Amino acid sequence: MISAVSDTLNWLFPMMMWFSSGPQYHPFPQHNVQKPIHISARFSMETSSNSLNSEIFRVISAGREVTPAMKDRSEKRLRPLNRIGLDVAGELSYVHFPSKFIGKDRSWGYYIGYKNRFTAFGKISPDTYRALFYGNSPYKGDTLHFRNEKVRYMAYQQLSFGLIHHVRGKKWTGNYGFALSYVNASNFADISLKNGSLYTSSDAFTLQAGGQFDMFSNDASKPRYHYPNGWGLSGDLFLNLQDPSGRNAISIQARDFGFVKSTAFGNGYRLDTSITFEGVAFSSPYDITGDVFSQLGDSAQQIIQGGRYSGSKVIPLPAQLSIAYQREFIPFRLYGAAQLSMRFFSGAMPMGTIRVWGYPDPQIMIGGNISYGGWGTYNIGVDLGFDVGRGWVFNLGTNQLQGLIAERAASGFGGYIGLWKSFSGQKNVKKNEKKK
Amino acid sequence: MNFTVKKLPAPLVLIFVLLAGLSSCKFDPNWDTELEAPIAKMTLTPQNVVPDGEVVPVPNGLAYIFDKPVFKLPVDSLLNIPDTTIDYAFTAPVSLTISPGTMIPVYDNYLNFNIAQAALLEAIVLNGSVDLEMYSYAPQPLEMKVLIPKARKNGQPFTQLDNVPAANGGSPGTLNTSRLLDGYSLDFTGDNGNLNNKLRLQISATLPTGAQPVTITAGQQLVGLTFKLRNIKPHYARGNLFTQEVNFSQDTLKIGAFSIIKSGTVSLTDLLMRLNVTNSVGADLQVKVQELTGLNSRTGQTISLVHPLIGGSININRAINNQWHTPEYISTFQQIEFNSGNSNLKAFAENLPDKIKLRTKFIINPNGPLSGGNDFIYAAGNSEIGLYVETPFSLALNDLVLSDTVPINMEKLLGNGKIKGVAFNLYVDNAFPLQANTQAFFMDENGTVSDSLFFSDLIAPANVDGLNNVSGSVQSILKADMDQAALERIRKAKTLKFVIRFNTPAQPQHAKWQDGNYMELKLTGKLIYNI
Repeated sequence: MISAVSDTLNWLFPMMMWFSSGPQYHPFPQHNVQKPIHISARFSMETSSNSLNSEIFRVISAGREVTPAMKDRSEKRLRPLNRIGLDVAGELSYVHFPSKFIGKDRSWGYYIGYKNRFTAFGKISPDTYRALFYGNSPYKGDTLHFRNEKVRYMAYQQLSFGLIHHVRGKKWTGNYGFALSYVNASNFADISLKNGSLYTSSDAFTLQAGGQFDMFSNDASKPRYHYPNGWGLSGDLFLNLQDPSGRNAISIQARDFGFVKSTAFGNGYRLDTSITFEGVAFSSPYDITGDVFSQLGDSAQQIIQGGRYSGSKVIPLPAQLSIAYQREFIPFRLYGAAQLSMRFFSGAMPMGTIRVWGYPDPQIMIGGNISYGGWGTYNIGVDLGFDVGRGWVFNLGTNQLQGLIAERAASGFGGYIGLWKSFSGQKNVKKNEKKK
Repeated sequence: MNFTVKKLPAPLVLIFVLLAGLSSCKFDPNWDTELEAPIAKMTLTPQNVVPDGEVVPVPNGLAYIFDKPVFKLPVDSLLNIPDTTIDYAFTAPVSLTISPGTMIPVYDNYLNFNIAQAALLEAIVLNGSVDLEMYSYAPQPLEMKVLIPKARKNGQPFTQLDNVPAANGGSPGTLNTSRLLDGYSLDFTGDNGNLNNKLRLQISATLPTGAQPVTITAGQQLVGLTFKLRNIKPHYARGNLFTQEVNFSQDTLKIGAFSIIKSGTVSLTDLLMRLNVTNSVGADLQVKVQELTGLNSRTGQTISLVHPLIGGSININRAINNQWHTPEYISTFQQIEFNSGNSNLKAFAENLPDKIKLRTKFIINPNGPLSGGNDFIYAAGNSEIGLYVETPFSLALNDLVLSDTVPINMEKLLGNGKIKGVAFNLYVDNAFPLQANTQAFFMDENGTVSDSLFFSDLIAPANVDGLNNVSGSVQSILKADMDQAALERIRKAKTLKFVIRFNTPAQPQHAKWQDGNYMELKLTGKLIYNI
């Protein structure tokens, strides 16, 4: 038996968002919310930018070569400050509302989850893009300026445990939950460059670089995926409330607020100076007794050696805070929601989203959304969900449709897929009753 | 619409979905970027372009001067004071009782130095030592005194006082000492000043005043000793140096300027060469230059210098002793000059010898010691032969090829194949009156050429006026590149061989090098690097 409290929950809630890190929603909470056991697997990828087009993200994420024409197309879209972001998440979760847990009414459930995350984001100037994609050669006789660049990437894994509680008040019913995660940081780098410049003389005889450069990364000798190059903790909270009519609901979520702390073997490099490099100087032809290119490397090494340091550093995790309002327009047919969210520690802007979804058939969900902000500008999303019976549900969609249909002219690229299996738990009950 | 699904192993399906999603994202960036940077720079000048010698201004241009000693006659080959050792046992000639305070002379005789090359009268020791091993059979300790009366320092004779412990039953008391003799003046003329190579040594034993009297019987050994003068090196020595011959054959004298020449010809306008013989020994010196031959290792051709003094003798006066002054001795000199007029020197030089064979004989006091004991040597007074070459930098070069190799590790440089191409630019500002082209060969560990980097253009010569003087520099840009296939071919290269081919314009006219000529070289490289 499912508790009376949870029986009263209307499936209108985006309750199946529980502790998901990605943008997906459970498409059929109405069919499954009362079931006590839920297992899910989700994968999502999102890339976005306020300037770089979707094409370049798609090609890079597919491991294909970025051609000069592709570079040029994004280069034409550059702004004075260019936000870029990439978020990839794969997760497995298990949620169970046991008949005997905290209380005996199935109002409490627990959550166990594993997430594998990769996120990279930054703010770069147009010249950083040019230096990165074209190199310095096309800009001989010119100076590339790097004004206030910041790039961070992190690969980490989260093992989570949380609790969910369904509650019913006099005016509102709802649920809330919280979770704590242990974070294993396997690879990360935090790079910043202020007031930087790179001058290449017209004949390439002279390179002049300057600025305040700071980079910290994990122990370079331990690059293996999942290697514990750092650890951390993160916490999640959510609260869903709906009015007695079941037609209005609000949802507040705080996800991934936490940190990682590198081991003491992190590598840092800090430089606040101006460097002029003019190659290896030989005073006579008979000085060329060693490997010229090794000497070249040694010269460069000497320049950068001074700022090297090692140690530990605390890096905040990209965290998200969101608030949503949800409205039932036509019962069992049409719904809408508006959400405001902010990704902290990620270089992103606040994002506003309006979403509408409906059920042309009880087992098919079609949704669409439009949003603005984040790492990019405007986004258009569509998603589909299918309830295939026996508790199996899957959905797929994208929040950056514009990147799929006009990848050269638009920014953003990504998609998500999710698979749910909900168990009623009735079989075991019946078996037990038979045994008795 | 109804969907049906068969019963699936749910966890397996979920994990499959997760893995499929993750694996679809490679996140392996892949694009080409062009990185360009300076690699090396160098300015060639007349002063640094030749590996040996120096370049000095002369009227109407520059001259190359090579002036280095090619052979030094080591002093210790003329005078070697061998280690001198005596082993002695003092035996009582008659039975006697030694009272406390009584001194017994143990040894009093000359040390004979077996010096074959000289009859030494005096010397000042630069370094050396007196080693003494003593053993005593006396039942009481003995006070031992070692005295060398004619070894003096600061007016005091060499004196060594030590105690030898008493014998213990059948085991003698022993004493081992070593004292430095540095700075002592040694007078080898004996007690009366009429000997040589001799130095008196006196050793005595005294029973301490507080000891018990000691009785020894006739024939009983009281003490034994080993005395050694070791590693005696004189700062100064005087006496009669006997006639000595020292042969010198040097066939590995390398001329660096010519060793990097691999082919081509050089035409010189003029040349001067001298052998400078310096005598810093206080004895007459005769030098016989038996052979002076130049070898071009590349062609195998040898040319011997022909000159009246080759095979003859030259006599050089003794150096002048200026003891207790600075300098302590005044060397004497003799020059043998070779030029185009008195020898085949021009042909000798234009053979571009990278090795010179010099065979000489030094004869000290060829007529025996005639100075009445005033021959001398100083430790720093090496006699030597120096080679002096001077030639105006007025050359005609015809396809003169210089080549050298440097180690390189292309495997390390090319890394994991991310470099898809390289392009080098060599910027040259040439104010030398010569033109050049260059090529670089990549060779594996067996010396097999994998590929080459060919700079197709020429380093253009400087502009010259009607007198063949440089009137202005000329800039050239040489370009060379390699694509990814070529880079893969040179991946195993371990050495890089540079080949530079020089020509002077308007041959056979000679082009003059002048002070201020230069060739500024700047090499930049552009990498097409795959991120």
